Amino acid sequence: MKICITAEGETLDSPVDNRFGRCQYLQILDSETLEGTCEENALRDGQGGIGIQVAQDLVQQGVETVITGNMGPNAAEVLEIAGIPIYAADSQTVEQAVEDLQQGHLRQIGLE
Amino acid sequence: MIIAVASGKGGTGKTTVATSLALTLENVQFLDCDVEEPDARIFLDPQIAGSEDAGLLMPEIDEAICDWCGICQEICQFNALAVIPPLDDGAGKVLRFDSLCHGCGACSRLCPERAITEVPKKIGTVEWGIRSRDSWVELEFVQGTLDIGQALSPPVIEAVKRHRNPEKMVIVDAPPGTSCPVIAAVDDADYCILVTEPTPFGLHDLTLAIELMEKVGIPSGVIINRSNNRDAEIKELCAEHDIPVLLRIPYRQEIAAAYARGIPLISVCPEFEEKFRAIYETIQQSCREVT
Amino acid sequence: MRQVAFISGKGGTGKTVLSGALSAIPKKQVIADCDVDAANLHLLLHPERSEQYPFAGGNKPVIDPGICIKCGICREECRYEAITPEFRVNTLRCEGCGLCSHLCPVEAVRMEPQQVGEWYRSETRYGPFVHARLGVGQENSGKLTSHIKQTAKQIAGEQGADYLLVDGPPGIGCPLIATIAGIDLAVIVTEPTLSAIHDLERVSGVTHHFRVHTGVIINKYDLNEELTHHIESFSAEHGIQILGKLPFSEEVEHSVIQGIPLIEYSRNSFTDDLQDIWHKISAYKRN
Repeated sequence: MKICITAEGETLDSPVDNRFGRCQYLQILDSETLEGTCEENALRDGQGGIGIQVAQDLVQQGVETVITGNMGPNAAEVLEIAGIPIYAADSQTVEQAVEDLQQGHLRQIGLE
Repeated sequence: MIIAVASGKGGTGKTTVATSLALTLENVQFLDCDVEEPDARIFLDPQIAGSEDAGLLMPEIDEAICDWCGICQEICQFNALAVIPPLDDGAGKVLRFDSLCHGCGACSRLCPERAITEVPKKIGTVEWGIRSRDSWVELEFVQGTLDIGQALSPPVIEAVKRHRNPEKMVIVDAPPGTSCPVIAAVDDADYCILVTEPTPFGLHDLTLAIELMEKVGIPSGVIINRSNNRDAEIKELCAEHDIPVLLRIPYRQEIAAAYARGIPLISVCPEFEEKFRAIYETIQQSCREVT
Repeated sequence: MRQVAFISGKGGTGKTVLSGALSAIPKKQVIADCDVDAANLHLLLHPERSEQYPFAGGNKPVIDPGICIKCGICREECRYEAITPEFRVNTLRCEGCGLCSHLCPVEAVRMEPQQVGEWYRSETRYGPFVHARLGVGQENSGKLTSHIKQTAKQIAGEQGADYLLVDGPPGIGCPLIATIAGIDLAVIVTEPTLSAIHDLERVSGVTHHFRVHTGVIINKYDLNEELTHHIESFSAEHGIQILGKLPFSEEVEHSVIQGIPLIEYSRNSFTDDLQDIWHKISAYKRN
């Protein structure tokens, strides 16, 4: 499954970034193999509605699940409409968060 | 003629000055453009005769025509639209984020399928009325109020200004500060009175207000409120910028106490009526010189 | 880390004097001035070693006179009448919507980010201080306010500060909303006048709307004790904690003229009141 995790660094042992729209990096990984890409979040210095734009990009890239810390209601709405569930990680590394997702330990957020 | 009353710092006495000036002159229409916190009504006590919604035109997408091309979202400079292309079951969706929309209409103008119409969404209210003919003063009154939770005041300010009566002597009570809401309130004024107080904060913010007036090219004059004989720096600043000090209103306990209860300055100190008339003469003279 | 913002609705009730005074109570803190339109807190805190950075706002159109053929389409279509007959952009009227850049048949219009102000990261005797200066006539969209707050929050995290004290703007629009987003306690500074009470009702409506915990400080309460009682009743009815009330004092003005936070200016019953207020703020528990 293609997942996106907001991260503070580029490696699997980087901490998950609590912010969504203004996160530093977006890691897009295969949940089984943990292979994938890491991009710097070029949108993070923008004006407003950043989360919306990031969410849009992920929809367009065919991401199926998102892991982050917090997400504002606008971005959450975009992902919800697109049928992409959002999970909250809590002070974990990217690798730990994916593991917890697979085990069903992560809390789903962004639901009304 | 349109006379605006503004200040850099909040709480210096804009409404005090604007309302007393309005009560002194004849044939006045008062526009309260401090739409985030409109207080002039407390002092002018008008009878409200009518009201209307102040709206922002927001895009409505006809989903039957929309092909989710995403151009509207690319165009929107405020990220107020998100286009979700169709999932497997066929229908896409366009989300509008009202708190970000500026009502600019670019999306509807540029939609290649003409799928977007603009629909007013209420963000505030405009009310109007008359302070009744009593033995004293009658004036026309218009105020704008931004709805709680709304972010953008300029569209409500524009809505108030649409009620301007060109046959009247118009007094505009502007919001505090020097940013976009103030511009919206004062940009068509013939003259702007800047109200300040003799404190370091007042002086600092007056400097910014003067800079703004020079930027928009509106002649201005300064009123020093709660004056206490330590006005030297303000006077110096005004002299440097060739701006007259129109009036000093000394700090007096009875003025403060009356203000607290919503009583206008010229009620408690009628001697100021003459001074406000003199200010009006000065302003008229100044505007004649400009033209 | 507790984030506390001082707001008011009505300008001039004493937010900056109070946030300055409470900053002077020793504690591990970061201070932020989010009243970017008419920033005054630096006049009390005397920041030093400021790092200064430009701040970009939204994009605004720039018309290249070498390419422009003066067809007039942009002028006709601009909703804000922001393009002059000489085909220059009036940035005070321009909303930054970009319509002109899309309609121009010869691509003479480029959208470019504008510098709308500067922001500073400084040191003060009371802790790190983040503040800004918005250029006159600029948009105050809340972007600069949010940036100040985020930066201050980040510094507070790095330094393990216990408090983030924020001096907020007047009003209820974008800058106020950006100030109160995500904070732990909004402290409304008010005074017993009909105008301030009207504005207190509105700004507390906003904090309630955004579900932000709210307290109130009544400044110059002895100006009108009846209206002070009214404020106290209103607060009690609306779940707003009364953090304290302060009498009118000439010392406030003197301390501002000297540029010294009140608590450092003198020690008397007034400053004891301020200590009590801080004690209540720091003891405030979120439910």
